[in-house]
Amino acid sequence: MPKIEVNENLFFELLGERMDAVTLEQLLTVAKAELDGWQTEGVRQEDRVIKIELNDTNRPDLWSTAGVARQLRTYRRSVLPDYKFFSREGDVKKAEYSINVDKSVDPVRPFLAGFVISGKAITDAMLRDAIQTQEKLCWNYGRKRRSVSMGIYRISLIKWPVRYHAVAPESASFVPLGMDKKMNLRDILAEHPKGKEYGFILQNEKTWPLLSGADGGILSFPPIINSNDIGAVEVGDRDFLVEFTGTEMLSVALSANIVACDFADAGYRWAAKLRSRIISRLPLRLTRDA
Amino acid sequence: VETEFWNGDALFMPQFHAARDIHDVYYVADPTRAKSIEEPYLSRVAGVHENGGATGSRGWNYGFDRDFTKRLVLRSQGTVLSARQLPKASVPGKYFGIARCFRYDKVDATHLSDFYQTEGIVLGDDVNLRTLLGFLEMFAVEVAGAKEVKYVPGYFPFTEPSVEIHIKHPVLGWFELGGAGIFRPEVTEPLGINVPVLAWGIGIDRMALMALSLNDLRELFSYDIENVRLRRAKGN
Repeated sequence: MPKIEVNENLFFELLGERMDAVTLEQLLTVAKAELDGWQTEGVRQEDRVIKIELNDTNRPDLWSTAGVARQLRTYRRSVLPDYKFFSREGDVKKAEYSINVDKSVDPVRPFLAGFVISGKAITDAMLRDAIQTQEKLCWNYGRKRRSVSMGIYRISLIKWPVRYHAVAPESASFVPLGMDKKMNLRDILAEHPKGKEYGFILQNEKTWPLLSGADGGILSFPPIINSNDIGAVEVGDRDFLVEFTGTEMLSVALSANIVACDFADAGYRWAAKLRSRIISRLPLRLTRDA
Repeated sequence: VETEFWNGDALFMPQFHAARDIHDVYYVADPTRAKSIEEPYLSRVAGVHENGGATGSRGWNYGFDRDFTKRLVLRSQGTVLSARQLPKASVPGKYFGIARCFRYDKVDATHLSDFYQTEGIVLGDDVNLRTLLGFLEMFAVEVAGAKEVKYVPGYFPFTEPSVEIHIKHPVLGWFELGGAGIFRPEVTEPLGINVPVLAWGIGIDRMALMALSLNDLRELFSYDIENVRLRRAKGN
């Protein structure tokens, strides 16, 4: 069962009220969740962490700070959340940014969904939370990143349109997160800790997926690792591209929807609609907030 | 000994479900597989996993593994009895059973690596969640002798809605007595049932813990005959 750690201040801000441990423990049952720990003694309030265990293994929308807060808030206020950015029949806006999904990814990792958000400088707590969401979602729901993986990027360094394509393992190289030298994709799989951990997903494939900008700048090598520049989000960054790639269209789309709602709850707004070849055929399209 | 089919697949647990991991279930070393799985149940269950079959559900959206489903395991949940009963059940009907279950668990005051569950199903056009809560309360109060009982929303892959029943033990505090719910159509339809089916699995050992005023499950397996004899008297 997924266990998450939520920053106390961030969680109560999203919930819209503060409460004591007894009340929270009782309330968490509506999310099929349990209070797993909450150390308040000797820890500064801004550093306090609430540990929550989620018992529903089929509700990936609950495995994040915003997700649990959304469920509890909905129960307390009896008002269903309404996210205006989801497109509805007859209300599909033109994309300002786009990711072109190349046919070459079809045999290896065919699906992509994404969105662009802005409007708020990301804090340390929010960044940790986004990383945790990525881990929980892609490990449990995404079957160890096989069916879904996620990446966050700094918009300011991206040259549009972005291209999602597959290349021969030796033909592309970049500096991956956590390293200081350029490596080709095959070396990343063999030497980078994330390459060793998730290499099993690609080891039998002839070509490997790559996300690159119009200027050739590499965003990431999905589902393994982001680049050390475009893909290195830092505290204080305001504008982001969030993308999901995978082998199952429905899981990719649902993951994108979940994380889009999480960011919307956290105060982000849609900078622009982002379309991709695959996702635009789905009824779950993401469009700009009207 | 059960097959993965009846232990999990027929209960709409996806074959990649974490609870079906090799670290949580005991696998039989030899032989490793059953020769075959009964039809039409195999095909119907495979269909429900892949695309929902005839239920209207989307299913789990993956390719059902017809070899894995034959793998032999030690029964890990009492619900297996109910799944096996459904194809031959009458409507309306009530069925009860006691099942010894095996799970790779760290042994402590409330967990053993093998345990007994009482398993029950009630089939009928007119049964609902209220009926189910009534049955659960009967087990908690009349059988286990609990004074304080609460229901908590639960999750099991085979029921919707799902509920856990918790009781308050004078020393150990609140603990889960068992889980229950109404079987999902993805479970009942492939096995030929089209009415609501209430289902529960309650830990007999945990009821005993409460009823016999014990503080540790391991005391149930004591060698101290005198202690066991006195305990029965106390229980009565």
